Amino acid sequence: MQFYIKLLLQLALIFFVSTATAAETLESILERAAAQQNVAIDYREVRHLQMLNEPWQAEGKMIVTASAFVIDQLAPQRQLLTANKHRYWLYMPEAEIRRTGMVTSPMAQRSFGLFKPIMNGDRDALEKEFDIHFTATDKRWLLELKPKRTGRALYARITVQGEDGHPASYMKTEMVDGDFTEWFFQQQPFTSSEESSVKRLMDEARGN
Amino acid sequence: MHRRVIIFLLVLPLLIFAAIWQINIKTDISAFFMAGDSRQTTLIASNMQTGELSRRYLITVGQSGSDEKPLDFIEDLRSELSAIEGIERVWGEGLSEDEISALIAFYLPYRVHFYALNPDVEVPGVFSESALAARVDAIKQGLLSPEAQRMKEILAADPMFLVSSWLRRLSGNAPAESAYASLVIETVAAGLDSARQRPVRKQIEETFNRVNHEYGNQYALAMTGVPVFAMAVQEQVEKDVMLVSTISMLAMLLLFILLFRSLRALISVSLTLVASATLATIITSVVFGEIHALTLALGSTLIGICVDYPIHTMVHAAGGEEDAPRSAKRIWPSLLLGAITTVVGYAALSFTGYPGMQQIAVYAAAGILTSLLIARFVLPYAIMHHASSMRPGFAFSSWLNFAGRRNLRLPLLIVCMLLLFAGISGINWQNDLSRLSPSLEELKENDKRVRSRMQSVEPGRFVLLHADSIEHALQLNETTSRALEKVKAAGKLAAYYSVYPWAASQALQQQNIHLFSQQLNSEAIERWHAAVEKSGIRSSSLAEPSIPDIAALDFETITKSPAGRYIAGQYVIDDQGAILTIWLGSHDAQAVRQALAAIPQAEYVSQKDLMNEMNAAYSNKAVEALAYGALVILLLLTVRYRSPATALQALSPAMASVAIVLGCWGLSGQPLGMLHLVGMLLAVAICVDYGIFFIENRAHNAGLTYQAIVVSAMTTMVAFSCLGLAENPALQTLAWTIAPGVFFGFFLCPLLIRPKPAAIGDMLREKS
Repeated sequence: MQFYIKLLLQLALIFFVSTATAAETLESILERAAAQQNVAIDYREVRHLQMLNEPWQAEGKMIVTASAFVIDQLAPQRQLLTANKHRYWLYMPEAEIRRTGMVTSPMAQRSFGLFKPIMNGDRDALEKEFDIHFTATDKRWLLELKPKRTGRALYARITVQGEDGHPASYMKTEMVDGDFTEWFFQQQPFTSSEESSVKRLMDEARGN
Repeated sequence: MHRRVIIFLLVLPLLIFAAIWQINIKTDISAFFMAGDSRQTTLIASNMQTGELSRRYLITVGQSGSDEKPLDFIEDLRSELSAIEGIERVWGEGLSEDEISALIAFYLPYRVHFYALNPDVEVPGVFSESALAARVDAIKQGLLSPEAQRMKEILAADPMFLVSSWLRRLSGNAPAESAYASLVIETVAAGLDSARQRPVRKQIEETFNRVNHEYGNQYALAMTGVPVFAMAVQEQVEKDVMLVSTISMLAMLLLFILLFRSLRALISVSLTLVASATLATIITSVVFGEIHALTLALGSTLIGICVDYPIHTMVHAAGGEEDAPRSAKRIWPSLLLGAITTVVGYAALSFTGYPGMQQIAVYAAAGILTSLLIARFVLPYAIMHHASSMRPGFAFSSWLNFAGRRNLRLPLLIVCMLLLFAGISGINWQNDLSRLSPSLEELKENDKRVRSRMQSVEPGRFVLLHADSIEHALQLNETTSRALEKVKAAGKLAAYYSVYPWAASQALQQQNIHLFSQQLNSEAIERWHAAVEKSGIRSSSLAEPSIPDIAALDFETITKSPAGRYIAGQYVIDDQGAILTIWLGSHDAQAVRQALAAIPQAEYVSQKDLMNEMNAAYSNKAVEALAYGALVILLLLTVRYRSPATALQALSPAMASVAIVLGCWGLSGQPLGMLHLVGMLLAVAICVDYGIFFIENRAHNAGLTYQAIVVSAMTTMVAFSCLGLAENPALQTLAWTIAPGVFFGFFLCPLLIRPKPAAIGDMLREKS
């Protein structure tokens, strides 16, 4: 689960706070990523599970600040996922389910370990974990990450795309078992309303 | 120097070395007062002393003025604490991902065996259309949740997600609402092993300070648990032993210097006492394999008794006309009889059932007899050329003359009896053993505070299940769990922790399997497929529902599995059968008792009540011991004097003393307990000596005899009064019972006993 959190939020940090251009490199994106603090995104998620007859869709809002990640899924059911640097909280109001755990737990460590180099702009460490392909044309840019140690990876491939001069608008996460998820992003201005929402949603997820 | 003295001086250092070399001091108060003569009390006693619960520290961390749980901090602290040597494991309020994964992996094959606690009610409903639809919805929700990966792994083995039933029961006890984060720290060493616990506790505190420093020192630590109490108790006992021993030694020293004004007398008696205490320590350690610190503390009061015999030897040698060996030989029969009656008094203690009292009885008997033998066979030869310089500096002749001129025996006895009758109705008898424990109010308050912040079991109140086998015990556990579920549903029980759902009886597992086999037919499978397809899940992607063809899970396998540690400390299996414990959260005792009324083998236990029941049993035994002890002493005296009347006369100061002290206790309204009885018994044993010495008057000199009695009584009173300085209520009780008892015993001697010129000793000699 933490994999999702880290994956989405850290990639969001990287790719939504930056405006890539064809002339840019991965390093320049990473540098700007670290400088960004707050991001608000409307998202639509489409899951393609082999067990389901039809793809499943959800939509909601992501908010990323220096100290918090929030994914507030609003439809088809409310599902709130929040995290700080240490811990995540999951709240499913309809099912009255609450979960919490450390982002340093083994599974989260694996994912955090993979993405931390991205956060830090550490290309050497990044290349230790991923095979990286960053390409850009006049109209679009594309980042493709493939875990080197496939034996313990949940994801077979992660791709992020965006239009030239714009942040990422699409991400696809492909699971090792063949399932995949598509994410469609629309960045929104980060206002004081988002700032107060973060605290409220963090409290809600924690049950305070 | 006489060769006996030389041998004594050579052997004494060897004895001291042997005592130091093999001494094993124990400080646990419960070991002193509790042993248990039933399986139930044995379980409680052993749990208190070495059980898993006793090895745990409970800590909470919070921030003043903040209502936010410091979860990040507690996780960092947890991982740091786990690395400390001497700590077995550390866990917080919930299970970690790894722990959950390991448990799911273990229980997944037994999902049908463990499906329901009430299979008759729950299993038939599993295959109804509505239940199947709800189950499929839950599966789909899982697949679309952040826990999708785990759900997919479970579905590969358990297509109907039946293990969810077991998981739901596991999370049935919600954590307490609190702004404090908590951890349970289980140590390797027994909770009462303070020597090994002290460095562990120090490391826990140092680790907290280090991690807290990283967080800007914003958090405060609160800690409780058996080891915390044990260390505090040990510190108090050690302090008491040091204080009582030092003050009593100094007081005796001062008294001795004031009375005898002779350094040689002081050294002679001191060496006698050192030899007595040393040999008593060795013998007690050999007999019991260890010696309790309280035995040593109480044993130090034996100085007050053991000193009697050398004092009598010295006073008679200094004041008589014979040399010291002859003088000692003359008074020997009185000393011997006095020592025997005292030993009888202490021996009676061992029949009270208190394990500690058995130690004290052995310690006292060894010490008294050693002192007696030295006073007879060594001391006279050490002082024979210097006896005249050891004459006491005062005589109690005024009181002796006053008493000798008046015949107040009858009025005095009447007054004593009236006092006893006046007080006896007001005696406030209580069996609360906790009053004997050290008064650690601050720690107790802290304990209450820490536990209220955690979802924790109520200390000392639980349900005990007895059965002739573990299978029957598990069945009983299931019956009891069903009853407790109802109490919980009624809001009168916050939580309960039984071995279910970790362990289930073979019968319950078979019943689940049997009912599932009946229900899982082709129609049910068709309904399942329909429900799956209707929800949008491809039924072909799921395996066909089936019942795993494996044997029921046995208890021993569970104890060795990842689940084993969650039920450790909740069961005892031996040749006689099995006992299971169900820990209770905050609860209404009456509601729990009512729920268990129909289950005869399930017993609601209040540890405090149980201990008090044990104490009441001990008290009854103490009353018997007191009666038998007095009877044996009376018989001994009757045989010795060949006259019941003379024997009663010798006993009269002791009896009058007991009547006065008991009467005063009753009139004061002070609560009396088991230890008051013990104190009375000892006072009787000591005071009888005075009666014997006075009535026998072997020196043919009542003044000299009474002088020796006064000196020895003063030393005894000083020694026991020093116990009153201890913080330990048990020692205080003994002090304030024995010291006044001894005072009245020696003080009333001349009023109650009239030694004739031809004293009893000579009469006996003539008769023989």
